[in-house]
Amino acid sequence: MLDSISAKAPENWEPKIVAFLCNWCSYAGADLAGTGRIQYPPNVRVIRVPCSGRVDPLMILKCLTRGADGVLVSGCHPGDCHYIAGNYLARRKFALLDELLDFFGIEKGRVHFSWVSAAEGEKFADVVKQVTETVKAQGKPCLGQICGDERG
Amino acid sequence: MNKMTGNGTEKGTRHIIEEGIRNTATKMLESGEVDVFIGYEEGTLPLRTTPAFITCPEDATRLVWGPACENNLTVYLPKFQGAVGVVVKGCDVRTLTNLILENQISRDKVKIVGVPCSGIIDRDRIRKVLGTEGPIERSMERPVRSAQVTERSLILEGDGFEFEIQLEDVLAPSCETCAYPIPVVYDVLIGDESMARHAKDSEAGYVEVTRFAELERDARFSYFSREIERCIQCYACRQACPLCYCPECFTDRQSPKWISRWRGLSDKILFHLGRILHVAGRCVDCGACRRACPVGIDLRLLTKNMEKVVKESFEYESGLDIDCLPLLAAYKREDPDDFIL
Amino acid sequence: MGEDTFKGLLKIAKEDLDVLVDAFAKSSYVVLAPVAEGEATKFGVIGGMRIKIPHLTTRPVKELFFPQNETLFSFDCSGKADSTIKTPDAVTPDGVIPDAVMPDAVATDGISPRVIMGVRPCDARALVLLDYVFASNEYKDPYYTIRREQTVVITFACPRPGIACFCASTGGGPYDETGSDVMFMESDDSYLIKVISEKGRRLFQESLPLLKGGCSECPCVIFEADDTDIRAARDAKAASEQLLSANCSANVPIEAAVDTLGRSTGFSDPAWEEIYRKCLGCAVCTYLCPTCHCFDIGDEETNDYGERVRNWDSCMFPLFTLHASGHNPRPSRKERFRQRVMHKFNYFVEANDCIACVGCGRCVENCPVNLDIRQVLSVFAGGVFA
Repeated sequence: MLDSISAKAPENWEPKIVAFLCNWCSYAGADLAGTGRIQYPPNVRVIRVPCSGRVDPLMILKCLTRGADGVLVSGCHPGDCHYIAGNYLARRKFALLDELLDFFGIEKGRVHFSWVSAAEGEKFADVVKQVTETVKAQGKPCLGQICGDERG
Repeated sequence: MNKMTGNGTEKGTRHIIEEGIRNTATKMLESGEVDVFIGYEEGTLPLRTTPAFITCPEDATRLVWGPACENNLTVYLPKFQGAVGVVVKGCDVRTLTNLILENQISRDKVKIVGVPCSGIIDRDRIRKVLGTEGPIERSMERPVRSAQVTERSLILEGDGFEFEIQLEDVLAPSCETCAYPIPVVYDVLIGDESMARHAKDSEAGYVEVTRFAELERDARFSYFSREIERCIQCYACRQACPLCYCPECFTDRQSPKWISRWRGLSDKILFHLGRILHVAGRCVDCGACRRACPVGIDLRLLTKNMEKVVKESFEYESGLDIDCLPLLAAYKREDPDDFIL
Repeated sequence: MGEDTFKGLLKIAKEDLDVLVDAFAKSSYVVLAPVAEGEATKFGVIGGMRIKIPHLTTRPVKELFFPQNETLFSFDCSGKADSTIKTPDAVTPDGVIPDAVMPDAVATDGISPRVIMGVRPCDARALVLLDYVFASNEYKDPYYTIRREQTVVITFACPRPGIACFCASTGGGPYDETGSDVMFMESDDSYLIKVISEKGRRLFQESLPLLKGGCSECPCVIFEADDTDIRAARDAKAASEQLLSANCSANVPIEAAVDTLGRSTGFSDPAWEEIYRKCLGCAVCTYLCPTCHCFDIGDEETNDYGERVRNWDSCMFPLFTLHASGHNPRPSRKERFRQRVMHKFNYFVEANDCIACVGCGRCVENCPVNLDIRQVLSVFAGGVFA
């Protein structure tokens, strides 16, 4: 099963990306992008969370092992957290996760973090574009399929 | 019987430490300072000792000290009622510091009996040395029928062979590069600091990690996947880890169910990466998880790399300070953010 | 057993073992034997590798009959599939049923017969104990039974029992034939072969004509053992048994312990309060045990596809007995540790009239804290552990 590490994605492959967006900033930013009719790739599946600090690194890992090709976590800019320091605490966890995944051998371009405020509809669209492009550039599905565990 | 206590030379270092541990235990139990004293006693197999829970002062003579005292005894502390004395090595005390920091045990309930550590032996390594340079075929297990410890070596006897191995050659990998062989916190220090192994610069422990990081990404992934693939999910690593004290591990959660019933490779990866993240910034590289693993899975590279990242990114070293906030319960405005889009 | 052990033996030189294995493979048996996996060893398909018999494999042979994870059947609710419940038709050599299966559909045809070489007598004996659970007259587990029926167990007698072994105390022994179809016994540079069961006889009948020896005419690697060989084998057996009994910790007073545990006071014996204390609560002892057989069955699904899965479970985990209400009848490690010992040495005895332990010593050797079952039993036998 490990031989499929170098498996290539089929043609016209569209990656699935899970986006955890904080309720107060990034989710509103995504809303703004929508009401402003700003176009961005449809690859993201949004999950609204109360705060980027709510995002347990396990959630990100679980996404990757169960068929997601990439994950985006987005929250309020430092200093803007609705809960004062949720995003600061999250930042430490994400820094560790980022290094762990890289060292483990999972491509850097799979998991992304960003700060998008409620006023940054344009930025949200840009982030999604950038994330989709980097995930696509990996050219193959992530962990779940590599391990041959994703069924159905 | 197998003497793992190593009284090879008259009044050798280990002998002095062993005496010290026994006397301290007797004193603590007699004065009622502690209800239980946790140390090591002779095991039932060569190269093994086993945790001992001593409650009567007379039983203190069962306590031993030597390079086979491999268990991290602080694993028993979070559940303890009453006052407890515990024998700790340089690494063990750092997990204890974390337990105190994380309110799993109060400082005044535990009497820390520190031992200047000269390193413990690694049974896998012994098996390797016996197999490649020694008298037996690698595939033969259980070759050793009895073992004796001298000041610097092990004398192993088996079917038709007697073989001497230098302790230095079979030390646990984490002991080889140990930066804190002398407990950083203690109530009593047995012997004196000169009896410990020479402390290495902590950078020495990162050499292997740095070398590994230079490998191709796919090679790294393959290495770890192959290690993890043979995991039998007995969770001995988790259970042996003093810092894995969650009343309910995420692997046991039914809702949300993190680990699927398929128990495929990806589930095993999720468990191991999840565990490593949970001990990130807390793990002190005591090696308990690796020793507990019945199929010899070695994920020390991952934990060591985390340690290195934590040190470089946050200038934090786990288990040294009893009055700070745990790494992930604190933050600084200037924490690294170069990975954020 | 006595003298009969050595009657009508065959003989093969150690260096010719691989020739014999080839012959098994040619007569359409899949050959499994100990293979290394990292630092550990387990049984696997050897596929052309040279056979190497370790002292005892890290992982017991039970997983080839009762795998750690196994899909019992699958279901598809998408409306696209031909049928809603899928049935598989083959068991792969390493014992895994690849697709889902309905019990009725498990048929012998299409499942290739296998030979497992290098099983130790303790592991072979354990299979007979597992039969009580999975292949009794009352309940027959189709997944287990089919694998049992299709497997020839070739046991290698133990010339040098290890320091953690205590098989003789459990009713077995280094030359015990229980559960074996064929037994190989070391004798200097050769193995003496004893064919024990009908299955074993069939294997040799089918394979011997395919043996490639020094000449093309006859199978000249297998001979009949002569008196000298038999004498050597008999000496080896005596030496092995002597070695085992000289190892004082191998003489475990199991009968006395079973007696104590079987009394009404056994369950509430004050010794339980102390004995479990160093137990870490991991599943090393149960997962590496050749006779432990507890499992958990549940469904796993994604969208409109799912499987019913059977996994090993361990009485050492709190989840094993956790109720949906949150109540746990075995709240601490004391109760869980007691369960393991009681199951092996009391409940199993009550149900099947024998203990569920074969003295392989895996739990002794692999316990991270050296909590030794022999010592535990000695405590209940009222004796002192030497």
